[in-house]
Amino acid sequence: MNNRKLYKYSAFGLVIGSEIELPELLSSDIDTEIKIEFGETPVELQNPIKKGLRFQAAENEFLLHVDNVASFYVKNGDSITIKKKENADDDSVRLFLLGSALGALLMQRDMIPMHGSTVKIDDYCIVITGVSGVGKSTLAAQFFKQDYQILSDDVSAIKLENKQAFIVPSYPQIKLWADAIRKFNDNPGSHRKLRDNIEKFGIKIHKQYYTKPLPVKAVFILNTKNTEGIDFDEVKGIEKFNALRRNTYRFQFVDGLNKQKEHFQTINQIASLIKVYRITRPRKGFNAEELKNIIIEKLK
Amino acid sequence: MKFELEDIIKRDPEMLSSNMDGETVMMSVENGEYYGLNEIGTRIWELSENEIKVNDMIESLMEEYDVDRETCLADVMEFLEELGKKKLIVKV
Repeated sequence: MNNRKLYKYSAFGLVIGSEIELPELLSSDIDTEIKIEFGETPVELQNPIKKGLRFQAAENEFLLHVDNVASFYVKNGDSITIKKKENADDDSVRLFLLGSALGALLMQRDMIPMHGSTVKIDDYCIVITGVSGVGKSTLAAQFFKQDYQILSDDVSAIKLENKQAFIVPSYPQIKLWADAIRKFNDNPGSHRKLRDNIEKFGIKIHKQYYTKPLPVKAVFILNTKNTEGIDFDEVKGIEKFNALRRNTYRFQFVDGLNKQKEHFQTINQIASLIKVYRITRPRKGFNAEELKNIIIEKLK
Repeated sequence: MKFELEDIIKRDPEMLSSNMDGETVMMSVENGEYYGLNEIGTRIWELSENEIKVNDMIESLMEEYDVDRETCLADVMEFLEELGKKKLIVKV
């Protein structure tokens, strides 16, 4: 038992009590269901079902070691223990906490965390996914600039309920690089830098942050090509399943074969409820406005 | 693994499968590996839910797909060999 202060937050439909301050998240004052604490983490799991270079997974247990930052132990979908390495900076700890560790926790709770941003359109939402650096957040920021509300950036958690697939809002922040911020006629200096030596900033979007879960209608996979023009097509069949699986945040962290079975079934159910589209932009010249217009047009 | 016309085959009941736009995605409960079947593979998978003689399968497919015996035989055997290699289909 310790007397360290607990900061309370609401994210992904969960109330979190955390010993580490998480300025990105919305504050809360109701009873917590998730605990994030500093403490000892196991070096290894007793009976790992999955093992990678830096992580191990077992039924309801997940362990991640990040060099020079921290070890994270995620258990039963309701607790994260952080063992901070000496001289680790809090920004880096938070980065992996809100990314991989929280992703594992969401999966332990049977949510599917997609790697991407979620935008509210009318009474439903869409998820923009794709590989790191392809422009998901920049495209989400384009929607944001044109007064659309945002449910999430970076990790978009899908939850199945009453035979519908919902996105659960995460926290009111969009992460953008300095040049993207300038393209939106804004000054990077007026935003919080995410990590000391990287020109990426956390944009607060409280004014246009939608706090309730919304049914998801479509997932758009953003990718690039070397030719001009924007291509658009629908993804079906096995490819659809693979696309959803590939764009799941750290899917390889799924812990335990039972969970893997559940996730397989969850992804299939989600696939039967939504459309998946691929939108391919030229590598040179990122026209976020044009991409946004194409998406809106296709949704009509 | 070679299959003969008179062989009775059956699919691995420990595979989780789901139909997706006419194709099939599968996952092995035993080892967590994923597989995908196109439309023909999907039909073969469906037909082998219960024990079935290879020859009977070929006759069914010939009717369903309006294809000649030679083509059907070649395609099915190739498919069964692939599935057999991965132990997704076995001889009973």
